[in-house]
Parts: sequence; C-alpha cells; structure tokens
Amino acid sequence: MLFGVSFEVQPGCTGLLGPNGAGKSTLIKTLLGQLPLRPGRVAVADRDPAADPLRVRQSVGYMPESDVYLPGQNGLELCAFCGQLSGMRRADAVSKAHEVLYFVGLGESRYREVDGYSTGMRQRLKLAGSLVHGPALLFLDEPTTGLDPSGRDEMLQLIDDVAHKRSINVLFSSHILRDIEQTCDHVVVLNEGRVLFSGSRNEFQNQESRTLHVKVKEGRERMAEGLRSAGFEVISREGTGHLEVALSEDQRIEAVWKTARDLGLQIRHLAPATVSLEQAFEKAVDEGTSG
Amino acid sequence: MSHDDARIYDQSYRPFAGDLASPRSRFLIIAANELRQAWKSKWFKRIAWFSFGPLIVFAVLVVVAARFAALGGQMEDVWMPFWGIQMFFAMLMVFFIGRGAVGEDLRTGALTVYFSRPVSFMQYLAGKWLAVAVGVLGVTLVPGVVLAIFRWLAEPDTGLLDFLLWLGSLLLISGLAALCMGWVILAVSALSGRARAAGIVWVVLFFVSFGIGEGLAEATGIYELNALGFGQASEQLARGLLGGGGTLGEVFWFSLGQLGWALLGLVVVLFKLRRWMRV
Repeated sequence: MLFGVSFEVQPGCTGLLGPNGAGKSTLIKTLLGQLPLRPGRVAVADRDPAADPLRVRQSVGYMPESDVYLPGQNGLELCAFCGQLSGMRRADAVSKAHEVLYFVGLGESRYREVDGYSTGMRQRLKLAGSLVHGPALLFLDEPTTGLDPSGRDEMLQLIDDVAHKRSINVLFSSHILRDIEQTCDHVVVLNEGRVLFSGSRNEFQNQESRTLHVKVKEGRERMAEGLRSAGFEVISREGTGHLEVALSEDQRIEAVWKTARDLGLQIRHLAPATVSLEQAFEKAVDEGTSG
Repeated sequence: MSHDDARIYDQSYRPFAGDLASPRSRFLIIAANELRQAWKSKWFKRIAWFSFGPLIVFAVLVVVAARFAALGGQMEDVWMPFWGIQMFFAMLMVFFIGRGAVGEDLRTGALTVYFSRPVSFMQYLAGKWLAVAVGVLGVTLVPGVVLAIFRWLAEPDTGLLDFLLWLGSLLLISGLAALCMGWVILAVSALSGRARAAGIVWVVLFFVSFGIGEGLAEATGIYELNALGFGQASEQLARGLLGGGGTLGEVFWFSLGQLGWALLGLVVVLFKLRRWMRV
C-alpha cells in the first residue's frame, strides 16, 4: 500500500530507497499502470498510467527484479522481441538489439540460448531488453540482485553510463545503499508506503546530519569552551584542526555564529558533516517509523 | 596495468530515436514470434510439409471419382476421410506451437516481459491463440480450399454455388477447429506448466476425447455424442457440411461441441492468468 506518495523524478539517476516491504516494487508497478491507483494521480512522461497504460509503457523501460526470460530464444531474439513489443519495426529492433547487447557486454553471447545464461548475463540481458527501444525513463528494480562483486560494479557502471551519458533518466530501486550512493544524484526514501524524503542525495545526507564541522582562524579551544558553555556538545579533532559540533533538535546554527562573534573569533569554515547514505537512511527510517 | 583497467567498453549504443508503432497490433507480433519459435523445430517443418501430402492423394482420388462418375459409378465422398487426416496433422501442429505457449511463460516469468511493455492482456491472449489458429488453418483450410478448387475444376457437374458453399463450409469447420484446438491447448499449457508435459497431455486428450465420444455414441446410440471428441466433431462436421451426409441438427450439435471445448479452454486460461487480467 502507498499513502500520500508525492515526488518528481529528476533528470539523471534517482534512487528509490526503502527497506524490504517499503512499497518500492508496488510504486514501480503503479507507475507502469499494472496496479490501480485509488485515489491519486500519477504522470509518467506526461501521461496517466491508469488511463493510458500502454502508451506509458511504450515510453519507459522496465528491468524487473525477478528472473524473467522467454525459453528457447537466444539473447538477440529476446532483445529484438522486446523492441518489437515496444513498437519498433523488426529490422530496427534487430539492429538495435545487436547494438545494445554489445553495450551491456553480451555481444559475444548474443546467439546463445538464454536458458544457458548465468545470473549475471541474465541481469545484463534484462537491462538490454529494457533499453532497446530507447525509453525516456528507465525503471530498474533491484538490478544488482544475485551479482558477484565484479558483476555488481559492472552493472553499476552501466547504469551510471545510461543515466549520465545516454540521456535516459533512471529510477533505480534498491535496498543496497552502496549501489545508490555510487550511481544516484537524487533519492526518494520510502518506508511503509510513505515518502520520507525526496530530493538530491547530497541534500538528504546533509539534512540527516545534525553535526557541524567548524574551523576558526585562531582560538580553537576558546571556541570549544564557548560552544560548550552555550550548551553544545563539542568534540575537538586534533588532526583535522576542526571542531565537531553536534546540534540537538532545539539548537540552531545561528547560535554557533553568535558564540564566535561574542568571543571575537573568526570562523573560517562551517559546514554540515557528511554522513554516509546508510547513516542518513537509518536515521530517516527510524524517525519516520517513530514519528 | 590490471585486467580491469584494460577493459574496453563499447560506446556505440545510442537510444533509439525512431517512431514507435501504435500498441494496437501487438498480438500479431506475439503470434509471429510463437510461429518463429515453432519453426525452429525440424519436426514442425517436416509435419508442415507432410500435411500437404494427403492433398496430392485426394486430388488424384477426385480425378478418379470424376471419371468413375462419368462411367455411371459412385464413390464415397472424399471430404470426410480427407478432413480426418488433416485433423491429425492439425493436432500435431498444435502440439508444436501451443504446448509451451502459456505454461512456459508462467514458469519463466515471461508474462512480466509482455506486460511491462505496451501489451494488454487481451492482446497477449489473442496473439497466443492466433499462432495456434494459423497452424490449424494452415493444415486444414489451405489444403481444403486447394482441394475444393481442384474438385470444382475436375467435376464438370459442380456449379459455382456448390463451390462457394464448399468454401463457406471449409471456413466454418476450420474456424471452429482453430477456435476449439487453440483454446484447449492454451488451457492444457497453462495447467501443465512445462511444454513437454503439456504436449503429452494434449495428445492424450485428443485421442481420449475421440474415444470417449465415439464409445458413448455407440453405446447409447446417440450419434451426436461424437461431439465430445473435438477431432471427431470436426470430422463429422465435414461429413455433414461438405459431404452432404448430415442433418442441420447434427451440424448444430457438432458445432456446439467444439464451441463448448473452446469455452472450457478459455475459462481455464482466464482462471490461470487471473492476476494479470487487469494489466
């Protein structure tokens, strides 16, 4: 079930984050018009998937999570068939299938029957099948499932390439945060069918960070003492030369500036400490669940 | 330099920028793909060619019958035995085209391949059925029409109206056979899951229904019970409509028998694919 879900997919690669059962696959199926939306409104490529699902599916590509193939066909036939199903003429579909299979690294195996493909090859084939008709938007549902570390890296490089060099916008659903961190510019965080965050990945990581890095020109220890007196929790990092200032919910960043001014110190650097996507995600989900 | 550093990526892929056809005719693509896959089997090709063998034999028989009739003799009508043989070929064609049509899609998750693309549920079903129907019509209607033309030319007493009636009857009988066999094999395929199992069940069902229909008809004396066997029903229809040896009531019952099988098959297919019906 999805509740009050509202977001826009930005150009580039958008990560759809959420724990298992958060509603990621349900959301993608809704965007494909495979599940009804009552009530609500979705627009994919300026079309409503509920009203015109076939046109929507024509303009998007979808790489499902599960292992799907048509038995008895080789990679080229399957990929070309996917193109034809999307509306390409047979000659175009075959020509593009050759091209996209080389692109995903299956050029040498394209005449082999899909039944004999390894898991990694099938993942690549699914990506090729979703790309063959040149979609404007690509939905990837857990594309690195079942891949070994090198296969995962190669898949992520392909996704990065598609999103940033081929002008195909990607909605990348995964619960593997490292994959999202490596490829996505934007994130949509889902939990229990609700959107917890939608925006740029950096913004998400910074938003979830309640720690500031502060550097003053001179008088680091005085600044630390001043901040502690003002009620902040402060850690002095000797090696980096900056102070780590943890903000509680009711403390505001202006108080740091005021402390420096009162002490007559000059702030050279003040920025939110970068947290990993995993830390930011866990925090957002915890807050979302408790809130 | 490590192996990874030396990896060469093909950068030639560019997203397709041409026009995409309207989604209305996807069933034709599905049907063509099914036939293309069946054509890969050497046995399918052989049977397709062999299915035109009886046409040559019966063409000779038509000439012999015409000469014999000119001499005052009378021969058994050729339509019913011809149709019986062609129905056997139709059963084999259906075996190759339809045995994995739905079941293999269910087993391998291929339905996701179809329904994440601009293909509606009805187009999917229509495409799967059409592939089987083309196979059935290819070995029944096509040689039937050729034989009708040959007979019309060989028999000077046959008028244009008779010829047109033959064509209409051929269209009806082969259409009913395609409807019935198409939906039954799709149902068998959907229930069996694997192509091999579905193929065996299909052949058994064809002969068992034939035997049950004929056995019951003989035991009870109710001739119309032959309609229980879908191969037999089609053969009896050929006798009734083409050979002029049946009553209107018999034609009705044999048509109804085949429509009943088709409806049963359709209901089973819809039941097995019910979760995809909304897409």
